[in-house]
Amino acid sequence: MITKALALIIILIVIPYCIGLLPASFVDKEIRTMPMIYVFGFVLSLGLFELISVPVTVIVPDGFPKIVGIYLGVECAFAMAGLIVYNFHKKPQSEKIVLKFDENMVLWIIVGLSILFQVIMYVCLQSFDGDDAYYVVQSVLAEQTNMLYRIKPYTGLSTSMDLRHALASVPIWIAFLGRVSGIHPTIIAHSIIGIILIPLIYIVYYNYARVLFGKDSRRCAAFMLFVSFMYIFGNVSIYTQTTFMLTRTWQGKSMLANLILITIGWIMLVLFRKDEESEISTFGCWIVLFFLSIAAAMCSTASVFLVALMMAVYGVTLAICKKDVQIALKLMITCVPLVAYGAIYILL
Amino acid sequence: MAETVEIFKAYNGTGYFCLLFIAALLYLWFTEEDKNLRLLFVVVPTVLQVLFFVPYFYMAYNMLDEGTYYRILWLLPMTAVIAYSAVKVIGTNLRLGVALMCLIIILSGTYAYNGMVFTKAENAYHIPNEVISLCDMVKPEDKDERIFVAFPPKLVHYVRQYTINIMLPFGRDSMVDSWKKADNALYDMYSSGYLPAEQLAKCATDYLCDYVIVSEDETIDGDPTEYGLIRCGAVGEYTVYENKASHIWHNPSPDGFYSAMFAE
Repeated sequence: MITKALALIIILIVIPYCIGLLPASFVDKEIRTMPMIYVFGFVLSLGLFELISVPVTVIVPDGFPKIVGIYLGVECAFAMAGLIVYNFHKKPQSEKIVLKFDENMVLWIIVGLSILFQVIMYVCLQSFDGDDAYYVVQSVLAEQTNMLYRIKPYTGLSTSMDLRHALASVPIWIAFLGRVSGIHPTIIAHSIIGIILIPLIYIVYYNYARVLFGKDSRRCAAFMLFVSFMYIFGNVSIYTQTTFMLTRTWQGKSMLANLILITIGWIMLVLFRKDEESEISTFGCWIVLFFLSIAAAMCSTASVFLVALMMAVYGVTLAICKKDVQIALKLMITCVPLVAYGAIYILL
Repeated sequence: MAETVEIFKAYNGTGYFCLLFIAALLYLWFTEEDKNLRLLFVVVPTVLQVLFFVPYFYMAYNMLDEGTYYRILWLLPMTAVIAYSAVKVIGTNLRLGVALMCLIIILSGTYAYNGMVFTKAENAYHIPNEVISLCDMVKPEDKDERIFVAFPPKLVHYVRQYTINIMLPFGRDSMVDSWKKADNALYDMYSSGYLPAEQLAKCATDYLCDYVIVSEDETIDGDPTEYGLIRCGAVGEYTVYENKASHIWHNPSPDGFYSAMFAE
């Protein structure tokens, strides 16, 4: 049990954090924080998985062990590179945290409890979703047969490669977590992955708060509390982001709506909230934005259009309002992976 | 336009978060002094929102992916904009402001963890215990072996999430009306709720099923044991029959499932 938990902690927390140091080295010390580094690393980890898993899935029908081996190697290499670059390039920023029991602290405790509440609910409650008969079974199939999208999950019969779904490799990522931890992929999806993903979504929102309110901890806490309440009371219909987060945490669509899209929004804030004259370096954010396009493709094939549209609206609006066409061009470059995936989908 | 309005209404459902969002946009439009933030939190979401209601855009999206147009609304930073505006509105009066805003959110939304959506998890797989017991009863001991088992439609979503050693004569793809599906006599029989014993046994054999599981909800007409099905156990409301004639692998019926499987 401890070994399994340790394996997941290393794969989902330690390695992504170390990888995050790589793009974080290219972000100004002034805005660099630990939550920022972790989100950066998680996005890069997802992007790397997509880059490895899709070609293997297309070329090798029973290539799951290859994905596991190559991905572990690449992850470790990137983590090492992150540690090296970060330590030699820039000294880590240490932020003094003063613990004092006051109104501010009470607010943060409530925020923490509300997030903990959602994590406990994720583990202790179950909800029915018909799509699991496809996505979760694909994870189980990959982990237990090594076959990649060549077996019909609904019945178990053989089939030709299901390319549309194969391009979005979240189920294979869940299978990967199952393989390295030795835990059944259905348990990973339904009882474990949310323990990481739900807090991660709030870490992204914390990053929003830091951009919006700086080091004003009270206002950051109030912001976080409102966000968490909107999730807990956000089940207004079956279509909303919040409902997807609570009822299908483990599915690619939910990860797209709640992790990828909100992370893009945060990166946009980091990149464009600062004044044009500001000399704060944000090159690392552009790297992450590029990888967000890849990670988006990993979550859902629909993301190719959604993320491209989001970038286009941001690009055109910002270019017109700021009278700087370069913004649109730079954002277009970050969409290259999406265009490539769209082309693969159409051509194959 | 009417269709997009309907989608927007369905998206916002029983809550008033969209009104909060519009109020937040208006508030920020008039009060936000940071022009960059106004661009990112007001202008861009407004453009996206307007785009959502453009009929040509709706038509173009449907050509790519029909039935998921509501996902355009995921692009709106609704949660962040509402939360940011709320923090700005309450200003320095934090204690009262936070309490009031939390109350507004509670009244505007719908509590997620009610019995409508969630039930208490029965195990770490988050699938019903009955499914696990049934699967354990019938699944082959050898982990590389596969057998077909006919499950009642309400259980088929769960079976292969637990074990892929059990193959299904029909799955979710037979059950969703809007999907293109192959005819499946066994599913048709199950979904009608009326199972003539002779026909059930014949179908089970045609579809290569080693076991047939029947729920109390389904009415069996006749005695299945007279047609080669042997009652071998029960779990809750489900009865498990073993199909002794299932060695059809070696003697496939010409119009049976075996032929259809390989024809595909």
